[in-house]
Amino acid sequence: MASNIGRSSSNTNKGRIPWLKWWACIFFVYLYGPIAVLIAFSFNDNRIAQVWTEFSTKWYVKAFSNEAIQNAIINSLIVAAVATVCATLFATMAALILSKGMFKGQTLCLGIISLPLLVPEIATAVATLSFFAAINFPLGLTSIIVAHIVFCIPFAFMPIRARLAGMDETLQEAGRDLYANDIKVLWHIVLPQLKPGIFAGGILAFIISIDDFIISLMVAGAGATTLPLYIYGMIRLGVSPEINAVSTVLFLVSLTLVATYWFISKKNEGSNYVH
Amino acid sequence: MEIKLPANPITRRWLGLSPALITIFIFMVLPIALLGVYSFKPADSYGGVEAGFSLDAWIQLFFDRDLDDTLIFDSIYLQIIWRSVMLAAIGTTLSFLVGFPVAWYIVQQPPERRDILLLLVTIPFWTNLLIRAYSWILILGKNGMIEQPLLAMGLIDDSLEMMYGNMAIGVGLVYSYIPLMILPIYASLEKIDFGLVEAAHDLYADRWAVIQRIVMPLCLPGIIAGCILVFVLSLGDFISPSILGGGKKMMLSNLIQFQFSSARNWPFGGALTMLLLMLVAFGSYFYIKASRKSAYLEK
Amino acid sequence: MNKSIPAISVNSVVKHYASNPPIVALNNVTIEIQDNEFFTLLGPSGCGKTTLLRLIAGFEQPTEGAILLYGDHLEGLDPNDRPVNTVFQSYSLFPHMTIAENIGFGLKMKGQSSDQIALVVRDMLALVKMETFGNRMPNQLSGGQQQRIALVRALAPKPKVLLLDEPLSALDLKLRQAMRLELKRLQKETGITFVFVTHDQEEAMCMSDRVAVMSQGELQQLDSPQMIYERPRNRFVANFIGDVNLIDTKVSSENQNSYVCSHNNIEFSVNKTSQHQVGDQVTLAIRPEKFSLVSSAEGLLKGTVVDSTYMGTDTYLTVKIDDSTELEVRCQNIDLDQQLPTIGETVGLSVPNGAATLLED
Repeated sequence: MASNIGRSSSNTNKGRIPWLKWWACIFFVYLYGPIAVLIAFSFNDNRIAQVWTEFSTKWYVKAFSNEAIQNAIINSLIVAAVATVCATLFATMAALILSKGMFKGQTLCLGIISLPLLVPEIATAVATLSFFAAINFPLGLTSIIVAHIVFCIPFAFMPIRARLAGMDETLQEAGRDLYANDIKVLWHIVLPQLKPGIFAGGILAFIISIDDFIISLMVAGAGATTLPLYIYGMIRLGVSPEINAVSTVLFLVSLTLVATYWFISKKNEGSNYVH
Repeated sequence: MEIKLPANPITRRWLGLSPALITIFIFMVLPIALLGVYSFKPADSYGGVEAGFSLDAWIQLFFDRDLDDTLIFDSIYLQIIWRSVMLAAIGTTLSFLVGFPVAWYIVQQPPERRDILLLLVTIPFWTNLLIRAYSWILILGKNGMIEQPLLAMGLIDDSLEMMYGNMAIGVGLVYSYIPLMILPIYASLEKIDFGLVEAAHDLYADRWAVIQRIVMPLCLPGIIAGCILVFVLSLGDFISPSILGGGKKMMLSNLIQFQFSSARNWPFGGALTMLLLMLVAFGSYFYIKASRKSAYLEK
Repeated sequence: MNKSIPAISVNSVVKHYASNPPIVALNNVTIEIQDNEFFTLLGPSGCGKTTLLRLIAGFEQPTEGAILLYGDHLEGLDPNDRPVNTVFQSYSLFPHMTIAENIGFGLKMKGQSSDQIALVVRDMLALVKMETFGNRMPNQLSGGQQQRIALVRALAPKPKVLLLDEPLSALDLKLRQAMRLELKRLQKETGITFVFVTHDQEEAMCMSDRVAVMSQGELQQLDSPQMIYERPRNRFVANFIGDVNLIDTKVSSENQNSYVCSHNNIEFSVNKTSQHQVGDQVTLAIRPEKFSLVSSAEGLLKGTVVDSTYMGTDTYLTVKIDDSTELEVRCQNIDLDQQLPTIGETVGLSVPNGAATLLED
């Protein structure tokens, strides 16, 4: 009995377990270790990627003066930019409607919009390919863009809808009360407050588009190589310091965007309401 | 000139919804339906399908045609499907075993640290899967970070051949999707009232009893959600098997992709896709059930 | 403006909400609000007062009946086409606009030039003595300051009627009391008709020209604050505003202007404020402070003190006059030497003429 009392008084701190901290440490090393290795080797002078000799940025210079890589980057940026703008616009319109009141078919609409999240990418990829073939849609940048818009919509939609859900509805009533018609309420009251949500949604759509590989792989025609496709091609040829360099850049782009997204959403939480 | 929104709420509703709905419908729902139809058509050996009706694609899942056209049971495709399911299941289990203590650890941190740790868990999810899988080649591969020191110390004298096998694929799957295990578990752990934990301690429960009898049951919906997410995504994963499995050990996704590229057997690819979708739909059904249950618990 | 036309006429308005079972928010309500009046809708939550306000503002449409603004039908007009403005319970200041932009929003939407708007904004800030706050953001203001800005934002477009939806409920007591005076002052200065919704009887009493007491979607009484207190029409009004003693009596005889009602052989003479027959069971309402203590030999009523509570300004006595009736009596504490009856003592109570009111129900 005495031991019981002693024990319960020693773990007052929410049942803390001593090895948990080490476990978490090891986990984060596992999560970031491989990427750290990748980044480190991208600065390795040696041709053989895994043998360290000395620090050098020559693989970056080499990679980015490669015309094929330059084209792949440009293609990726075009696809991501167009897909982001379209998907964010469509998602904003849909979110504005779906956040207002209840109507028949609302759940179905939400279901269709989140469908791209549920369907495995490979299924979307081959289905889209078959469809494009069936309607004789030429494969190229346009086909990639169309396919990207589809799966970017739910990613853009989520933060916009969340932001709308947190919005005080009486503000719109106050606007109407002060002589603003529907479009003015939308323009002067709803959209300015929705801006962080739209921005966050756009960032997610952009990240998803720029990182996409499988769908692009299936629906890209010859000559429409995006950066992930190019990297995949290089990986199949084996490990090389050039891949490390390009991958590091792509990783840092995603990292920057995620961090931006995260800070926007954090700031949102703080300034959502007037106290 | 003044721009006006349509006065009729129903017109307005469909005007607002139609771009998103029509895009997804035409370029996602229709194509999948089309693929379903294709799975019942004869294959065109140049890719695509021919007119007519055929069950060949579905038969091919289980049987092979002998020289004299009799059907013999053939388990090669079933093996691949079975391997996919097993790998996804093992990956899910490992993700849970690794992820749960991490989620539990994060929940116990002060708020600012929690946020940073959550961000750290989330970042990999939003970065390119291809790159993340590739980075494991540097670790596991021939002359990689693991083999190099062992070779140098003379503990081994040949490659461990860690790459291009089920183990490498498993590592890749866990690595790819573990954030999706940790986040839902964290979300449900966060809602637990720690007063309950203290009450359990007060009533003579030790640490394990608290975790087993208080924490686990309360965050079960989060655990289920995390497991299903990881399982479904692992099942459809293409990158880990093709990068870390070296294309030798196929999973369902690779088999599907193969039918649409080199093999040019679209109906069979269609049938495999339908099978994958059915498995995913099955998983999603339980996912939705689990999230309903968690909503119920919150009430 | 023409005095004879009411600022707002609410004609037999019914409002249902479709649900299962349907909710009747307003049941055949008719009210006329006069020009330049400080008018209060008073009632407990769910009585329909806020619904009525939202119908006037145009956020919702009546199921039946009509609402007129200075004689003009409001039917089919959107909130942005109605020359009435609302002060919202949660203030609803636009968080992404400065205070000046908030105040000028209505005028901007009406298409006024920015010079004109700037002038009005300056006047409005001066009106609430917040001249230096124009460039701040709403979240930099205290609750009371936000309240004032919400008020002048609604006043800036010079509405014909200002609607106030429990605007003081989020403020603490001291601030609430100060704002009452300020609201009254603003109403007098601007000459705009105020329609004020509250569940707080004190607020209603101290500011209003007239009060409409509502309950369960129906109008219970519409009168001056004084009449609402002194001559409540029914049990609901009598109970909702202030404390009251209700005595069951029977009408025993009738004069030209009054009834004589009896309770256990005690006879009260009351004014004819409602129609009853001799022999009807009726209820009398007497406010606790109307009684005066007299010796047990005198007085209309005689009873035993069963409880006594010191409350500061008053002492509350509970006097049992018979087995079924206990009355609450308030005696003002004038000085320390005052001799109040103790528990168990028998006292007499006198009731001044006109202190008792006959209730309709």
